[in-house]
Amino acid sequence: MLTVSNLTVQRGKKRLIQNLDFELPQGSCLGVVGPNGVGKSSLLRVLAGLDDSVSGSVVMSGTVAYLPQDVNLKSDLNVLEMVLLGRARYLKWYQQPNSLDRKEAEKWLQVMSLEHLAQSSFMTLSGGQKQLVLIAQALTSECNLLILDEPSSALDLQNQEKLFAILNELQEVKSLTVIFSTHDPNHAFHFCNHLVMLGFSKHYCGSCQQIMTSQLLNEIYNVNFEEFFWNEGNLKYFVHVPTSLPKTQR
Amino acid sequence: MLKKLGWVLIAVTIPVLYITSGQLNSSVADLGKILVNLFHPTFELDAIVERVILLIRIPRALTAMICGAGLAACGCALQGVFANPLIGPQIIGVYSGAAFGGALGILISENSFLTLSFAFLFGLVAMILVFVVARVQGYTSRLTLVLAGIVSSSFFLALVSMVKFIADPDDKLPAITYWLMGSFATASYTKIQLVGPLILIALFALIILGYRIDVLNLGDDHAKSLGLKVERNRWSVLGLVTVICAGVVSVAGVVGWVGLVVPHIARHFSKPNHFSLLITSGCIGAYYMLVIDYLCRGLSSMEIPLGVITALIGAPFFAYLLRRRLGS
Amino acid sequence: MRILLITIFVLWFSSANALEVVDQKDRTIQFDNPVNRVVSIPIPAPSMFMSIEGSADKLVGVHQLTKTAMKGRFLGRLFPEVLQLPSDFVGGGFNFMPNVERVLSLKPDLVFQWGNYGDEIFDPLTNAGLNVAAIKIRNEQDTREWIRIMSTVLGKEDKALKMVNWREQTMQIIKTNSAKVQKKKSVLYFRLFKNNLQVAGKGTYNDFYINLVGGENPAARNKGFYNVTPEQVVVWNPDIVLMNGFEPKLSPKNYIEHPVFSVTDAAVNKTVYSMPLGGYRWDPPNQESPLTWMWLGMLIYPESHKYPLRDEIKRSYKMLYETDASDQDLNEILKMKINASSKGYAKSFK
Repeated sequence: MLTVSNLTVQRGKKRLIQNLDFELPQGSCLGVVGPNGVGKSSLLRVLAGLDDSVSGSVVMSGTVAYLPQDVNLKSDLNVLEMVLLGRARYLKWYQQPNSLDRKEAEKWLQVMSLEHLAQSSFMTLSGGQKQLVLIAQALTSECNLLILDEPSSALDLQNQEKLFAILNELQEVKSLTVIFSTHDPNHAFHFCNHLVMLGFSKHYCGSCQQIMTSQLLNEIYNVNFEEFFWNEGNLKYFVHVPTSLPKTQR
Repeated sequence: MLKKLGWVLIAVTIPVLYITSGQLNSSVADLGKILVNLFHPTFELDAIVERVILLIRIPRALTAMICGAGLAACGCALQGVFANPLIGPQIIGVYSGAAFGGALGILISENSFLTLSFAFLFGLVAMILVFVVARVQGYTSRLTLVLAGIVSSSFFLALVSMVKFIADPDDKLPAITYWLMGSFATASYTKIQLVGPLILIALFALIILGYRIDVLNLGDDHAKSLGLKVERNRWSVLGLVTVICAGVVSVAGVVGWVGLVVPHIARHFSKPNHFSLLITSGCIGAYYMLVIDYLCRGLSSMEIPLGVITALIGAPFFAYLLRRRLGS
Repeated sequence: MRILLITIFVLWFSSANALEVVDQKDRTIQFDNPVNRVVSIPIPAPSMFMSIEGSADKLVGVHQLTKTAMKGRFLGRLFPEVLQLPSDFVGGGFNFMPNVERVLSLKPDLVFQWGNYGDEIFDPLTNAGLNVAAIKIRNEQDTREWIRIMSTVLGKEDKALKMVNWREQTMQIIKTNSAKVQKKKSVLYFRLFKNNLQVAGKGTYNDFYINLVGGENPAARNKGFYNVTPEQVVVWNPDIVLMNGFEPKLSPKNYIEHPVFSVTDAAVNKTVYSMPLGGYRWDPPNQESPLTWMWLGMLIYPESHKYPLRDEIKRSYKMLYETDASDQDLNEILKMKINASSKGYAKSFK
């Protein structure tokens, strides 16, 4: 679905990522992990087609929708109208959204459990709710690839769980491909099949099982990670153990 | 149901009042007789009343309504595309270009249709200048657009000063000065036929683009992400706005403040999406202009320039709206 | 002792010969030498100047639009040298802002400049050490001031006396005749007509002479020149309409054939007239104004005002410009062709 070859991404004059290669099949989920400032957002923007890479290529089949990290959008529209904007790709300049478009928008609002807010003004929603509305909008645009930049930062844990459950289901049912970035490696480990780990002037790609080890995490984040196991070894967690313990624990 | 009837009543009453009021005494009955006579000559009428109503007031009413609707919709569309409620049509340079064209036309000829064509032409030229200056590597950011608009405006305003500088103070200069302040005094059926359909068709197209303006309002990246070709759509809206504004300036001179103020009034009455907003702005704009034009011609025996009244009413009103908006 | 007497004599002699004039800003200008080189920035001033001097010899610089008004007409034919004078010392339009260096290069003994359009156009000239006479043009009094100032400067006091006497006498005769008028007619003057309608209200010179000849000015309810709607004109329904002499190709036809005005009394009766243009346009105050008053009186109330206008024009032109005006000249001045179909025109002024 998505093939990235020899990609070099830069922000300003600084080269952030050099010679990145990976392939992502349809219906899979890719996590992009790394410390702040390493270039996660820049990579995502290039994958979404919003910025150009310095060299290399990104080949994808289908349409892509991108959700930035912070929603600083000002609009007077209500939630339903906002989600309805996702149909833009399918409407010619002289066409107005019809009842089928509306039904599609309402469906996705329902999936995100936001149908009770349909007539509320978008600006009156909380940050997390706004993000969910925009995801509903992206889904209404029937994209094949959904790129989310740090979706966990605005959502509380319950909504996070809900969101990723929905995305997982869409992956299976509709072959939706998802890419998201996070600075919490566990997040990626538990929800993704594939992984891109970005460090300052190094990176690792592969499946989660392959490359998510505490050793590589230490390298990327420059701090100490330890692996912990739950549930009779079925759930693996990577916990950051600080080198100097806080005062109360000494 | 009753509410809708109320609106229809207002919609009909205001133009009728406008057409039957003025320095010359006339009644609604006169209007009725004149309209009937158009289809089948039945009534005896005072020739002067008939001519004043048919040849002065009705064309003036039509022109005012078309221009008012056009300008209001333009302001609304621009505020959507730039995601900024403080924007009016002056920003993209078309006003200054059209002002120069009209001034030049008056300077070099006696022909009012030449003046009209020049005004329209240079309004378009001003926008093309903005296009050329602001577009870098196939992309125009909103900020660059505003700055290029300022450049274009300033350039053409300087040319206007130049025209005023060399104009004969005995006849050309007063004509140019008065034209620059805006007026519907020269409204005629011919002008309406020339420019009216153009403005109305462009207005219609703008309304249909309302949905896309909503998408553009989300921001360039977001709009692109939803599959909208940002450059193409934004320039289409700007192009339509230019056609409407150039058309308005060519028949009425420079009329400001309508595009800035009316959309804000419309927001109180309309759903927030731009399709509805544009329609509401257009309707309110038409009647707003009608009322203002009545003040221009009916307050005293003098004909007060349109631009003066729109500014005197528009500016304080806008200040009031701003305070309300900041307060809430 | 001798030296003292001679000194006193010389001083007395030179002061007696010193030329002094008070301009319209109440400034006193002193001339050490006779005035032989004059630059005029205001547009109508050269015309008056030439009428007082009887020639254009002393003019060394005039406004561009002075020349435009003269070209192809009576005064242009009489003094063609004016059309060759430099005009580049002032902008072409309404600002009257002088280029002081250019003015200085013409070495004028006197410069005429507007006194009521601001100090920015006046002070640069006086600061450069030039003799500047301020003039204003609003009413009859101003015209008499111009005559006084220019005749003093040119040493033509007797001419000035003739011009002023002519004005006074004519005014008295007209007033007497006006008093006989029983029913007043309304007269509307269009200062502008083609692009928008501008009329002359109370206090304008046009208002003055309309009232002088016994007419009524419907536009007098407001002061000065102002714009009106066609509707207002229709409501006023003036008996007589005067078309200005400023707008090129403007004629009574523009009013008579106007879709709305054509049903008003003035258009139906064809009592619409174009203002004549002699040494200068007859609309604003100038040296030929008494002719304007007579002309208007004869048009409005032919029974009360009867004057031998053509002879008067010839006589006054002899007095003013020291020249004979031909019948052809008169036809051109009175715009006989343009006014041909207007009521009573051909008859009154044949």
